[in-house]
Amino acid sequence: MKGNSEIKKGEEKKNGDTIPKKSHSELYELLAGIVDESNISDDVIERRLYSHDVAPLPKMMEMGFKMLPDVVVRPNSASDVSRIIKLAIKEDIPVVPRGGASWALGGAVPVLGGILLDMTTMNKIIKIDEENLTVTVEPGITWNDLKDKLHKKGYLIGAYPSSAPAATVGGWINTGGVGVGSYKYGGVDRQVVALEMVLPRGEIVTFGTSSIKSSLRMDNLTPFFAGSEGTLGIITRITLRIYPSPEEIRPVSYVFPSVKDMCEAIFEITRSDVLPLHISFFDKNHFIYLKNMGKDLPEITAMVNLALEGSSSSLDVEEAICDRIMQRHNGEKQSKEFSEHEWEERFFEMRIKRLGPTIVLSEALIPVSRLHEMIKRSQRIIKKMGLTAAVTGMISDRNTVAFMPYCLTDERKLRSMMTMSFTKKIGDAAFKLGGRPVGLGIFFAANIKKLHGHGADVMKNIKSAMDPNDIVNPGKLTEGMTRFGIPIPAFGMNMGMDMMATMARLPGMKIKLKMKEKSHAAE
Amino acid sequence: MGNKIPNIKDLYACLQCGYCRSICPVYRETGWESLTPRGKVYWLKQLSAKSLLDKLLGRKIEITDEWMQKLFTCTLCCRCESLCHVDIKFHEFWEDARKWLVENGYGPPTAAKDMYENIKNPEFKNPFMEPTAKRDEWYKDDYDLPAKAEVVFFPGCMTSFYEYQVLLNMLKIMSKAKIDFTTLGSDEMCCGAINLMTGQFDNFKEIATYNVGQLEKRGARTVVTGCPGCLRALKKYSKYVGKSNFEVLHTTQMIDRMITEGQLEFSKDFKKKSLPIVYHDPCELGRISELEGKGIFEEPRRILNSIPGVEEVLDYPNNRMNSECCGGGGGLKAVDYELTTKITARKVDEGIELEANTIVSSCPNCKAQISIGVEAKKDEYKAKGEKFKMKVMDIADVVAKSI
Ligand SMILES: Cc1cc2nc3c(=O)[nH]c(=O)nc-3n(C[C@H](O)[C@H](O)[C@H](O)COP(=O)(O)OP(=O)(O)OC[C@H]3O[C@@H](n4cnc5c(N)ncnc54)[C@H](O)[C@@H]3O)c2cc1C
Ligand code: SF4
Ligand code: SF4
Repeated sequence: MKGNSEIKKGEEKKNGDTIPKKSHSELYELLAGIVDESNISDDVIERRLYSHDVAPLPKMMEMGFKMLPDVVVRPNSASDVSRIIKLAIKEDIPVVPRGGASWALGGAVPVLGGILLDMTTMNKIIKIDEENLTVTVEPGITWNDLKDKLHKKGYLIGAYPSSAPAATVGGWINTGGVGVGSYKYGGVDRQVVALEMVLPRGEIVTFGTSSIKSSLRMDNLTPFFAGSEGTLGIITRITLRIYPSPEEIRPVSYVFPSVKDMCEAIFEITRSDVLPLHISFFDKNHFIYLKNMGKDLPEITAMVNLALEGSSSSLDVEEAICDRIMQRHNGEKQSKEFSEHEWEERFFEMRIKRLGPTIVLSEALIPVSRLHEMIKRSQRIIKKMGLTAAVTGMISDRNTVAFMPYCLTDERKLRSMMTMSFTKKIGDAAFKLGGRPVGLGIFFAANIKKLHGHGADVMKNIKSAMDPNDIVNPGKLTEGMTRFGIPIPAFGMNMGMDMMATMARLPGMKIKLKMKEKSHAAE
Repeated sequence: MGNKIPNIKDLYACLQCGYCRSICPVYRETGWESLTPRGKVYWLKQLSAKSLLDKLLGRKIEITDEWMQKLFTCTLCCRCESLCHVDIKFHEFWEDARKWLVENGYGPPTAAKDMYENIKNPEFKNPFMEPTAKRDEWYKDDYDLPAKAEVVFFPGCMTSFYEYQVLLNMLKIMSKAKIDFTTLGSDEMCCGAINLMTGQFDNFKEIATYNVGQLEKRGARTVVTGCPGCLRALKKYSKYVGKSNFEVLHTTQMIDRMITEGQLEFSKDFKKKSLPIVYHDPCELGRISELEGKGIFEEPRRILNSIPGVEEVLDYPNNRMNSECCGGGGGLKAVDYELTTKITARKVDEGIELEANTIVSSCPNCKAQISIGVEAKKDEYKAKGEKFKMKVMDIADVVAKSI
């Protein structure tokens, strides 16, 4: 689709829209030799719409990063992708893969412009293998679509992100997340049995085997690519494990008089015989915000939602065990309707955004045993920074909490930039408790050194060896990079974030959000 | 830019999560972000937040003619509203956005402008340039309708000029049930739904005043229409011209009442070889009416289930609040005809998958649109040397055949 591409050849401008070597129309013509023109756009408005993800970044960012892609292409096959990558190597321009763009750390946002690959055109189910209990799909299918189609055939997908209506299979693998179902079935890495990828030199390869379980050996590299944030190649086909649909999925919710009780109850569940499909929790503020939006809710200090899965008779037993554990910690069981409503709402955890209207979400993985300590620390950070924030999360395995506090702010106010540092502070607190922040993307690439020490150099070497031309999603994961190709030094990024956190405390920097019901620091 | 962009709160509330995208029929058939609700909201937000900084950074944030066309590339089915993470009221939002564009001198698309002019033209009083006299020429010799009556039947333009089978069937049903009714005959004017849909609000009040005047002149206590577009527009009249003396009903509500009150008796079975029936919920009758107060979902199903010979009424996999648009809504036909046929093809395919032999709806636009889809499917089969059969009917057609 030929659009209003705006920039003519050689017209190098000092704005967010220059390209290094080829004019937009030359690039367009070259791509038109690979895919149908209806799958290419160089229209400037269209490109803008592919220059962001869920995070509303300040325009100023464009001084440092070239987020506007030069062209958007929608490939239809691995061979399309391979040819596009070869073209990109020849022309020395980046290729950035994008799924549903529902992540918030800029993984799918260009930082050096280039070709944006919209993977959502490749969205078919290729095969449901009932003999080997696997499904093979293209990367652009959404988790919801896959989940619903499998359900009709009597199968369950182990885990999916709570952004399932928008998140793609390829996208979630690349963020390496945990989600609904992970407590029982593991993170996305545990769902994948085989991958077809186009590597950064353009070769199409397959890892893993889709029939029998391949153990974690050198000949199965699939886990290596999970969480690679689109920097090690483009996924073009995935084989996932599937499970027979259970007789029943039974949600049960419990409300606690204090966060401490809630944390102890969660801890005991993780040490018990029951293995729920999903466990999530929310603090008081989350419900206060919902009430402020006019939702009809009882007074809630802390809440745990469980989803049990299996045969109805076994669930009766599991439910009774859960009831006993929860009661020991003063948990009060909620009605069936309430629990079911909470389960339905699992995809809509950010309704509260309307109040902000900006929401800054951070995510860290921490040990279950340190949950209460982590909540206390977060609350101190929230108080110190003067934020409007709530704490939520899910338990991703017997030892790990995906801890997800969010804060509400207003991007139209200067101070909102400072709240970005909230995420950094939460990450720091997680480090102190033996955990770590989740996802690196553009902004937290600097953390990789902190996470892995010299291991980070090994990772950089792997990236350079696989992608010597730095073509596939440059500037992410292993190295934060600005538009001028200058890496953001780790300490610089960290210092910047710390400085913002300090400034956020200055009196003039407070943002008052209008609320009828006041939020509290929980006990 | 003249006046301020409406619904700024929603623009900021939007999470950009993209849930809406996954169920938008326009996105499904086109695949570009600019044609998703999320993409449209994003650009509106950029426009609303335009500042000097954009200039300094060389960010061109503007309304181009292509973008205006894109904002109109939407069936206004409001499926997006049913999954929106932050509850944006899209049934108002899209109309407001179009209105804002038009008021600022952008658009609407040429075909929409033409329709507006045709409605204004006293020779037509309808969007399709049909002479006013044609409105009642199908029936005026056969029915001696009174000058005044309790019930006034308001067929609407689509039914009057193109889907007149539905019109004749409705007249038959009301006569059979001995309802004291009349019509506005050739005095009827387009309800104005097109004006609201295409952002051309300025003369809606005039239209409302005219039609309310005509209805009251005939002593209407109940106004009944088979067109969900007219239904919504007629209900909005009171907001513009004050409370009137009549209630507004959809034909399915009226027929449902007649059946429960025993005014209508069925004597013939529904044709066996046209069974089973699948019912399609028209967006404006179901979901959007529900978003505006009360959706009409059960009346049509109750009616179909009471037809002798009909044992089961099938549902589309996505039905009621989640019903998928037939493609005929929102004036999209005037912007991108080919796209509407792609959307419709899906509806017909789903009917085939369900092994239905008749697709029934309760909207003249749906009937027309799905019929186009069925014709296209016939051609497709013919090219393969095969035969394809699928009946497309309005509820009034079904009822009339059995009395
Ligand atoms: C309401 C909400 C709830 C969420 N809940 C969860 C949750 O429960 N768990 C969780 O982990 N996350 C969650 N997220 C974050 C996000 O939705 C997930 O990480 C999601 O899986 C991202 O998928 P996507 O298709 O949107 O990927 P994108 O945002 O488009 O991309 C993510 C990364 O993957 C890369 N990528 C995409 N496709 C490919 C491909 N085919 N090949 C190579 N690289 C590719 C991109 O370059 C980028 O680095 C949530 C987000 C929202 C808004
Ligand atoms: S679903 Fe609602 S909040 Fe999410 S992108 Fe669409 S309009 Fe925005
Ligand atoms: S109203 Fe329908 S066609 Fe228009 S954006 Fe919403 S879902 Fe898409």
